[in-house]
Amino acid sequence: MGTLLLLILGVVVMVLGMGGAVRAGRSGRPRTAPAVMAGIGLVIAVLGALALREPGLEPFLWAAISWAAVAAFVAGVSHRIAAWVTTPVPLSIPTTPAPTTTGGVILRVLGEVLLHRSLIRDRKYLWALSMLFHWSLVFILLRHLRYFVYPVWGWIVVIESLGIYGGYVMPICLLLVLMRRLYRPQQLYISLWSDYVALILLLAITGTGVLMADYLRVDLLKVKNFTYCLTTLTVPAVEALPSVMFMLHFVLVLVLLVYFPMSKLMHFGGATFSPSRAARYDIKDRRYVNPWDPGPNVYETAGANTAGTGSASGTGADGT
Amino acid sequence: MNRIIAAVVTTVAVFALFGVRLVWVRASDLASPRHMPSQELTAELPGHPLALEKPDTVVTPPYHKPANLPGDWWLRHHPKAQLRGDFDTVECQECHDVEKYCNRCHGYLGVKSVDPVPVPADKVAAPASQAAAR
Repeated sequence: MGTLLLLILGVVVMVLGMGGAVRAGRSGRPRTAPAVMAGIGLVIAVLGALALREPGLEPFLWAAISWAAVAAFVAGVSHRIAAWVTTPVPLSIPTTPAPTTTGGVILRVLGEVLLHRSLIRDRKYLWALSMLFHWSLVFILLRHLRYFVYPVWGWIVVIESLGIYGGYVMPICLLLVLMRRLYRPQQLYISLWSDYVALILLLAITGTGVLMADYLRVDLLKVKNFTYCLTTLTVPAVEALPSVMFMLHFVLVLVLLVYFPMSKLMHFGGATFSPSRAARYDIKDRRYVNPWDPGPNVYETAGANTAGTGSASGTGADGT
Repeated sequence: MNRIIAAVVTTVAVFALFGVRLVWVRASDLASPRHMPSQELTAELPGHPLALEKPDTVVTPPYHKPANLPGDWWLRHHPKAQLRGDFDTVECQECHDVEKYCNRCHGYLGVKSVDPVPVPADKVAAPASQAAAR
């Protein structure tokens, strides 16, 4: 059944990639990314078909796909963060009121990340939803660490209840956010497909997780064996592969890992690199000069001996 | 180009860390085996070191291994059964050694351990008939 899931996954990715390539061609955009996606889907489908004929190949396929997804996630996230770090920000543009010291900036960023301070001033109900969702996600991720380490650290056992409750709170928050996006005309008007993809993908992951926790329970010993083998770069045994319900949950997580770096979910890193948050408000203490500003005489009229308006930061501009 | 180099270097570094972890785990296993393969923990009765013989005074509970269900049904559903209140962990200890039967799997999975409690003398299980001591 796991191999069939691989085959279905490959076909779905291939069809999505081909559809994306057709849409990109019609709108005049480059077709490279959807074509690559279709190619990857074809490879996964072919490997899934091979594994159907040779059951012994299945663990190798799962291991290869898992490591490839993790590599894509790490490479994608580091590429995006490197882009942010190397993007020059010559002017100080924090939204005011802003702190004037480095310590204040750290507290501001921490407040934004941990407490969503800017959302409190916007809509309280949205802030509550956001806090519940993100903190549930934190406890779920921390509790999931038990599948990747042995011996399991003591604090993971301590937060067991928080992780369990978070698993029920998170899909409820996702449903409410999706309903808000569908039923509010303003939200519906500005929503793009990428907004729905992120929500539906997370809902699918949490939904399969709740199903496994309550109704279609799986053998957790096989699950731990499978995940621990992957983190130690070992191929699991064929007879030790978990059931199809867990493999479905796992495949959705792999899709999320690959989709993550190119999506709006990268706001998890963007919050700490945003120049409107992570900058001191010290324009009164030092002068910021934009090196790409044009010279002071750009707007000088022909024959006149007056200096042009130039830019505020240009040198020698009298502003007459 | 710098971003691509950063992405490649980061990915290689992360997988190098996985490789270092693999070497560390293998070296630790050679020194003192601690990574328990899951297959050893799910072997069936009788004669398995995880199980104990049931004394004549204790009747196997009806919820323990329902008929016409897969052999691992109890393994998968006992957490929910215990939370629902179908049984208490004291009843398990009439037949099973908590440290050998419950807490080995619980420790492997990172779940709260079962606390051993005194069992009435007439309900203490017979010594286990293991093939080999572990």
